[in-house]
Amino acid sequence: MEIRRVAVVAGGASKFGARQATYRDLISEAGKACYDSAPGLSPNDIEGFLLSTVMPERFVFQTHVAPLAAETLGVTPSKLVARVELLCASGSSAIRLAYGFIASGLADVIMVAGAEKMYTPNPAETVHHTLAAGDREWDAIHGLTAPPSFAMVAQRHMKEYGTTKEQLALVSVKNRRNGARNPIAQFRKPITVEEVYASKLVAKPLNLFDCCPITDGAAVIVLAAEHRVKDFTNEPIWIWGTGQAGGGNNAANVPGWAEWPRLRVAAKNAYQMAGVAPEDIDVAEVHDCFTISEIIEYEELGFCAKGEGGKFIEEGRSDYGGQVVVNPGGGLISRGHPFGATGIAQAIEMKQQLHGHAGDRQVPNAEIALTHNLSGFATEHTIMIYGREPK
Amino acid sequence: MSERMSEQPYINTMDVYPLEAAEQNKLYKFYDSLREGRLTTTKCTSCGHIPWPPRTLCPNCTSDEFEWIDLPRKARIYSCTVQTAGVPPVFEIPLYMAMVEFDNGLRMLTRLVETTEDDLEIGREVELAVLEVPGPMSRVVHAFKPVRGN
Repeated sequence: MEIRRVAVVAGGASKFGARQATYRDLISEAGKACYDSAPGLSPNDIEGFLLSTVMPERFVFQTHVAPLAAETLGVTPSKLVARVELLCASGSSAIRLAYGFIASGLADVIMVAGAEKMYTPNPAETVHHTLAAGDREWDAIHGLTAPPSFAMVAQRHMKEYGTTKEQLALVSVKNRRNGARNPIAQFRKPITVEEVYASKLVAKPLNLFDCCPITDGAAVIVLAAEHRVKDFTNEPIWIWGTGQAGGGNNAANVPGWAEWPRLRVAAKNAYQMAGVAPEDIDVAEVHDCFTISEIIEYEELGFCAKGEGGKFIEEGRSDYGGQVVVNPGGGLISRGHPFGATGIAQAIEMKQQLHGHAGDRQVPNAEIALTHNLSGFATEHTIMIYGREPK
Repeated sequence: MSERMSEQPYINTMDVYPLEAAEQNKLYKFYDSLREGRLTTTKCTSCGHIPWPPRTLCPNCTSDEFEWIDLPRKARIYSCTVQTAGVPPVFEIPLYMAMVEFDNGLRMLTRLVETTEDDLEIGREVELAVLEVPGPMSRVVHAFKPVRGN
């Protein structure tokens, strides 16, 4: 079967943050931004609709959300309508699925939306809901949510590779500095290492500013087959490669702590499909749910040798002027992390970066971009590689 | 609090703990054993695979026949942390948690009780503790505590 070339032709996001807006308001706002990004695009062009969202049943007491979102955006799907859930990596997973659907010829134009309304009037309720992300019967019974999980990952990485608390903090400082220049970001004020240390201790060794926040937000993109691309935009980004690998859900079965072998597998497959190497990547949006995550991702994505992620941030190699600019949009730490919208927001950042529309956070001459989205106890990894030109 | 809760209809989706009784759970023997102070898991009677958590389908050979075996009472900390902010509503700070490892290589996520920050050390020996789940149903949950001298 012929594999068709596929591009992202439109994209827009809501403002991320603690929003005075409903789930549907957020979807409307992101949809408007997406339509406005490609004036030739109308709801009638869209044949397929995927909604990436994680727990609307809990946060907003709503299920059957893909038809609700499609309806909100004026879309009447004729070839595909479904919801995609893979916790924090739902967004990239939905993009990967839409890619496959278009590449294989089952549809020409698919809208991929992502949304999460996470703030509830009682903050404790939101935290309670996140317990459902772990293995409820065997892990959540101990109170395990994301911060202690990644704190334990950090403890192992610090023990095995000598990674320091300052190196962790530097990730947050970089991403907050970048997010300050991103109009949709939840946090738009740069911080210092001292401010990271002074923020509340959440789970040793992670302070509050080592963690991404709770976020409301939505993001929408449209993918199209090559022969439809020019109908919508002169500034597409092309999907060169994608990879995904999983490792399970129960904390005891995680196939690595300081090592993330499933990320290595996903990255290898994506690089191979795209025909590029780690050193070819100009700009990357990676899953910095916690500062330790970004450090391990430098290593497993092949940006540096195993164990040298701490040094990589310290030497500025993931910053402007370095080897690869990582999280120019602020990452999850600064842009925020509305679960289902994150992977979609990563793609939008890359579309802006590859076409010189990223304002004062623009990475000069960026041509090849990578996004990485993880879920669970760092077990499931989804990667997309985009190019400014078709390949 | 438990008295007031018992006047409300039971809402399973706000309950952190699973339903443990035989009418609700094929792994009910785990909880029956735990009530007697024994930590157990399943062993596949076809290929001998020992998983954690216990399972009704062997991921190794796909058999659904299993027996129950006892796990060691002691383990060592593989990684650990103490959460001091943002714990879910039914838990209290400080919330001590660890991934522990048994001699046979099996690992298990657990909370740590009767613990201080001085005990949070990779390699520290810990032993089984059994806790009652608060509330109207009679339920138990496993935990570990540091092994103290003598």
